[in-house]
Amino acid sequence: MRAGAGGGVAPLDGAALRRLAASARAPVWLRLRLPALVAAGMVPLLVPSAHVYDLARVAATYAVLAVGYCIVLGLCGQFSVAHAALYGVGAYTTANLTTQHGASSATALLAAVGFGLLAGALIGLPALRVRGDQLAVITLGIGQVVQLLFLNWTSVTGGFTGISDIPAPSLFGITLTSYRDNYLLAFAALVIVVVAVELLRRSPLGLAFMAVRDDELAARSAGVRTGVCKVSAFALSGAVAGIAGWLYAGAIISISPPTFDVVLSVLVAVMVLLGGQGRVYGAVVGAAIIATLENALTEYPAGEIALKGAAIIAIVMWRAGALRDGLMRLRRA
Amino acid sequence: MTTLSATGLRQRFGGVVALDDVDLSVDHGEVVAVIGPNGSGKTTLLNALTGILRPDAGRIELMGGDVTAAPAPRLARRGVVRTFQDGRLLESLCALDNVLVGLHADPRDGAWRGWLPWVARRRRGRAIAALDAVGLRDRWSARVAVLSHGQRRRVELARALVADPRILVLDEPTAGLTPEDTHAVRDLIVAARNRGVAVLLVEHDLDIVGAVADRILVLDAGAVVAGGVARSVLADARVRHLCGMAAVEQPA
Repeated sequence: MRAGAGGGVAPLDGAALRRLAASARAPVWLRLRLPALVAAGMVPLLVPSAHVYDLARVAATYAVLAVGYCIVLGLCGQFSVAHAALYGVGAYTTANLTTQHGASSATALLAAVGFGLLAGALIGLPALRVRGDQLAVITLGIGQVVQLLFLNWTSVTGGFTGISDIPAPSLFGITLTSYRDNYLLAFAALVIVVVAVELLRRSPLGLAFMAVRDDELAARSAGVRTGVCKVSAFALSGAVAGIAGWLYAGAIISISPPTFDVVLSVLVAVMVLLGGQGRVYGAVVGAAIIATLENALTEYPAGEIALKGAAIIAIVMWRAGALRDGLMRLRRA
Repeated sequence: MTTLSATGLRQRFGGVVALDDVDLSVDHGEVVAVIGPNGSGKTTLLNALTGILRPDAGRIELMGGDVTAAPAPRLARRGVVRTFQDGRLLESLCALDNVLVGLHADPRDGAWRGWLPWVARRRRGRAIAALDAVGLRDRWSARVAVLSHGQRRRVELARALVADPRILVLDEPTAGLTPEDTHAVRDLIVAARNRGVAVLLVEHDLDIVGAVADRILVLDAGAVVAGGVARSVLADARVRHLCGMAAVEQPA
């Protein structure tokens, strides 16, 4: 037999709950984030060019990837360096099914999400045993193994040359071939993913993720099954990475293993940290910044290498706490 | 009716014997206090009983079923919830969210269905009621990092009580509290007991122990050195000396 609810207090009536809900509503600027995102997404339509659309598509695809990674790092506090591998799983699933098995774009999307979910759960299993930097090192290794799989499982992935002639995405009978169409598709996917992750953040599962991030012991003692939470967070972020991979494969015509290397995983982490750990809209901004930098530096290979090197250094410094300490010292000075 | 019982608990950390053949039982609607000097194994005992430590030997039963090997989340979902000596709250979240996390200890109140608006509303109502019970309803939206020490302690109690536990395990709930907050915590313990909750309490303040405990267990160096009805244990000169409370007069 269990005792009465919360100390025998009368349950709140409807009016009290409505007042509570009203006072729980976010401030105006927070409620304007989604409209602001949609408005920002329309900007490329004002300056239409193949270059702008292509940059915007890359930014939106990166943003999908980063928002998915927010679930693992931002909400659940697990530092993984295998996110590019999940992106690759989505892209290779799409490329393989559409070129070798004649699957439709929609089927490929479902499969990319499914395999992403599964691969994410598998990558999340080590999080049951290790945490922090050890988890980072293990996921780094897993990411390398997956990339080797892309390189060597020739019958499925096409080996070093990858898979070419991936058909353009086509949904509801409409085939999206132009730069503009591919951008709009990626942006629509981004809006859906952002809304979904925001809903997750406000759900009990999202709250449990944050409890794991803040204090695992307290969370366990409150009944949160932390293992289930960690694997779910990895699986959900894998599913979102599957969507990003599907977008990438559909837009790019040909994919090959070097795209899905560890440097991309580090860049995704930098996107999330640029936006403020755990902030979904911040991750979108971080992704846009990284995509723009990468695009601006494509003609200067040395600059691109410098960007990626700086990203790795920034991540290592962040893990060591040096970034935060340095920023605080600057603020005091 | 026995809610939680332990027999022959042993725990060793390297060369240190932290628990040495400890037996204990807490009944439905009973407050059992564990007292003893620092380092006597009180917190280790609570950790073993709440699934945070797996004892080297011994058996733990909840409502007559063996839970010796059960991990903390499973115990919490079966009604064993606790607070911590150092008051572990989820620092980035508000008071309401901290209490909502406690609802994960109630497997019937669908954490997986909680994104449905009507389920979410019911859960929020329960959490607010629990905050109301500890007198913090008006501070529900405050980040716990800005609350006072006493308020934080009460948020932790609300998180423990929100899921209607069978047994409430409290590790020094009044440490560092003002007299007013101490009285509030004492009243909450008594109210929980009167609702039939079993309470296991580790406490340094023997006034509180005397006011709420039905039975007392005295630990020294991991072993039970005295135990029994609260008043007679507190009257024992040996116990009072052990707990450094020789100067305090016991009310008749």
